[in-house]
Amino acid sequence: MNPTNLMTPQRTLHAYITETKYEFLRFVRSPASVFPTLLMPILLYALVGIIVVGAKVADDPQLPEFLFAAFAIFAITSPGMYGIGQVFAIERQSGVFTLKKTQPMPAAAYLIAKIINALICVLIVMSTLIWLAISFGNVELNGTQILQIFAVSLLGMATFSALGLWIGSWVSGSAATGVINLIYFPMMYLSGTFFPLPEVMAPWAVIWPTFYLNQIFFAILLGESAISIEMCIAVLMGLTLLFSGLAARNMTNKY
Amino acid sequence: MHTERFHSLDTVRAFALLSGIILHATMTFMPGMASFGFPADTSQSHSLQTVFYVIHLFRMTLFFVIAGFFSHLLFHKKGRAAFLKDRSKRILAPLIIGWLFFGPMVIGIIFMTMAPPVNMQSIPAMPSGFPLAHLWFLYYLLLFYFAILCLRSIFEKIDTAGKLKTKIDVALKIIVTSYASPFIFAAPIALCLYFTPDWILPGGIPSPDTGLSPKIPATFCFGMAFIFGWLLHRQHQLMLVWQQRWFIHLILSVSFTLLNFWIQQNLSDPIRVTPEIKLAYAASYAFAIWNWVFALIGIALTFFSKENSKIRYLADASYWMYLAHMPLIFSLQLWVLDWPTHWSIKFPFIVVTAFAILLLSYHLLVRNTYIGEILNGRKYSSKQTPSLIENTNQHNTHLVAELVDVRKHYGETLALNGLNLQIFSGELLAFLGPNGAGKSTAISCLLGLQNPDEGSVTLFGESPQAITARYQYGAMLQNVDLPPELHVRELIDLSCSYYPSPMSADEAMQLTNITSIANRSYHKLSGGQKRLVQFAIAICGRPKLLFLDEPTVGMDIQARELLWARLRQMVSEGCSIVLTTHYLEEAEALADRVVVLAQGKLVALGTLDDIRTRVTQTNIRFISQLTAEYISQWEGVISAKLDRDHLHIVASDADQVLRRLSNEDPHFRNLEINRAGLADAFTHITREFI
Repeated sequence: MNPTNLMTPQRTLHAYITETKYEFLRFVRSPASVFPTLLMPILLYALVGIIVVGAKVADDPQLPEFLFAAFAIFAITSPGMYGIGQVFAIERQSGVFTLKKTQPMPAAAYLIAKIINALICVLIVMSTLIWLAISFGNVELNGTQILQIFAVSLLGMATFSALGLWIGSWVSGSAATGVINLIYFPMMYLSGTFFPLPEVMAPWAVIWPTFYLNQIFFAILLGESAISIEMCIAVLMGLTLLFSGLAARNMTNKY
Repeated sequence: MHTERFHSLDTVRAFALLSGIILHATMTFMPGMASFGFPADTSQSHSLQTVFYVIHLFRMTLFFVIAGFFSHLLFHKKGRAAFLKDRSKRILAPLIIGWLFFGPMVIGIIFMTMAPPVNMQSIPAMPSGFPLAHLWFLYYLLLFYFAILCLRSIFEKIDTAGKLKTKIDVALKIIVTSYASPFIFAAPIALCLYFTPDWILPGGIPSPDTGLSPKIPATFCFGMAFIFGWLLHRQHQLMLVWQQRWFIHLILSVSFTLLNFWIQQNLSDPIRVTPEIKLAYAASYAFAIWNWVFALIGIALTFFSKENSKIRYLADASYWMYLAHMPLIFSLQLWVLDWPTHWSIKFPFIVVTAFAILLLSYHLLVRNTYIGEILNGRKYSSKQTPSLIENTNQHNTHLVAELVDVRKHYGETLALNGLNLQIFSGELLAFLGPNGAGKSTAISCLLGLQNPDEGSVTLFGESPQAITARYQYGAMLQNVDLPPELHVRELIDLSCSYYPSPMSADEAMQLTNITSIANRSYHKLSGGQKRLVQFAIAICGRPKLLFLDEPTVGMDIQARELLWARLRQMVSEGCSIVLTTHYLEEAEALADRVVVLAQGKLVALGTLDDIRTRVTQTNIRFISQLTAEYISQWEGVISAKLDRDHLHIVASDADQVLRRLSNEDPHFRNLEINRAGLADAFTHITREFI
């Protein structure tokens, strides 16, 4: 092949943009993706966080923050678990991933497209949740807190994208939804994200990654957390590395 | 010969330099720096203090070991004169120019933004002298070059027979290979630090960033590292010992670093301590340093010994990045200083922004320019190296793909058993074989989806996984279901985007006659339409080699005719096609050559005629009064049976059978004669193997 037949930087960039564009189109056209990642957190927060529980704020002054944190974590974690993990498992089973390995797709385009997509998703949902929380949810947030929430959202998204990717790298496409639900919902409940845990179970919350995300939210919203915020960030970063490493190992070894 | 090991050392050097950038980025976040008149960020961090402490502990010693190693390499490769010339160009010139250029920038930024320290009394006496800033390491490198060349001349005078040299080599070998090596290397460093007056314990080996007269601790400690690296290159196989022991060294280095960190955190005064504590700390500190050096080199040898273009690029860029980073890091630190944000956001922001700007500036201003030639010792052309590409052309005008003695096991089963095959340009090669013969495995190996257990696979003279090989082939696999939500045009457009000069999506759709379904979702297509879309995806990059795995399964006759016509056209234009199929008539209609596999072995390979003549049998049909039992006993008849009113004879010698037939039954009629087809040949050839 002659030199003109190599990718110019412009064409490489174009490849990344095209991959991202179609990943996004695929996402918005698929109800199975849009529903759990975009609509559910917003609708449930509006329903539970604002309408149902709103009346009980007088009993527990910290309830609005607690619920906001819970649904924010839902919003941050689901694009990685469902948007990346589930889709990756399906694409592996349907042969799309194998086909892409025979094509000269730029090395990281596949992942970057999925991550940008999850990022857009998190930004949309978090912006909506923050707006709902401030306008209707009895949550007070200043500019710094909002910035901090977005920063933590990015960190959380990275961790759960890596976790999703790892799950997606071994589970079969047809079982993906079931397996992810089986991991996801216990993780949300047993980490004390949605309900305060009974005393017996509370110490075990630390085994779930969502616990650390939740603690950071408490630190931002209420100024208090069970363990230090730096520790939480370190744990989430460590888990991101761990799951990315495991996923990368599976992706190179298996196919 | 040994170059693969030195890739890993390039990586180590880059790591030492780049970690320095991270180290400097932590400085505004470190509690306690404000008392030195250093600007302090509103968000202070003990975590970043630990990061600083760890990186500072080992990075310069590591750097000077590698510097010594490569200096010996260069000296012996090029000779004294060329060595001096090279060093003055790549070390002295960057020192002078870098200082003139970056020095005023750093000082300017400090003056413009820094408030005078609040409490002048609290600042320990600042060392005075020429501010070398972060470029001091270049100055000390030059000192070490000078010293080592002087030492070398002296040795050559007194050690003419080379006995002393041999003794030194033997001693070094004994020390490096013994488990006591980190103790032995740490001892002199520990003593040097212990006897350093006013040694600030947390500061480790004091960085000699001001003053031109050599500072004793830095000269001694880093000089020792440099000489060690120099001697190490003489017997570089010694490094293999760290490849085995890196984990032990890593555990020791981390443990002792933490121990030191804990000790210095609990000191009330970091300078005036009891002699016992000072000695213990110095010993433990020096021990940690050398364990880091051994561990990191061992890790690099284990994991980074293969050449990797990205790491190579970063290694080339690291020198420039380190030279230029100071003003940039400093500006960024001052910019974010008062942001009401946590350090865990500000610090990564500084690091990521700085790395991005430094890499971009390297790519645009340095790599392909005169500066890059000075810093890297060679200039990279902005165009891809044409020589390599011409070579590839020259050697592979005809051969496009090759399997050499390929074996592949799945557990106990041998899927491919020593397969040799060459594929040439402009031919259509059909893979035939019963199920489980190894066709799919062979294709997977050719496509780089699986690596053979033994043997080699090359496409266009490269590994099939190489991206430049993948630019040149297209594949249509079995059992692929493309994303159902995307439209036909979008799917093809996406694949087009991967290639350097592809067709447009419209062109690919026209060639495959699917323009009418361009805007339909993939999941609404029929099976045959889906196959055509996959075919369009396979050809959209204008491949020189096309793999088709059972392409016409599920296609109607029209679609199949179109695909066949397209394949014939592509072959006539010089494209090579590899086809697996169950439809023998497809192979018969298209193939130039046929490969028959059975049980992982190649059992027949040749043109269609070659394969057909392997079976010298003819099918004869006619209506006659003679019985099948009678004819089956004739000479030259393999079998005979009655098929409704026709007799069906399979003959090994048709002429003889027909002569006898016309004699015995002159009234036979409806004669049909067919030479054996590919199907007969295929059955015949594979029967022996099943």
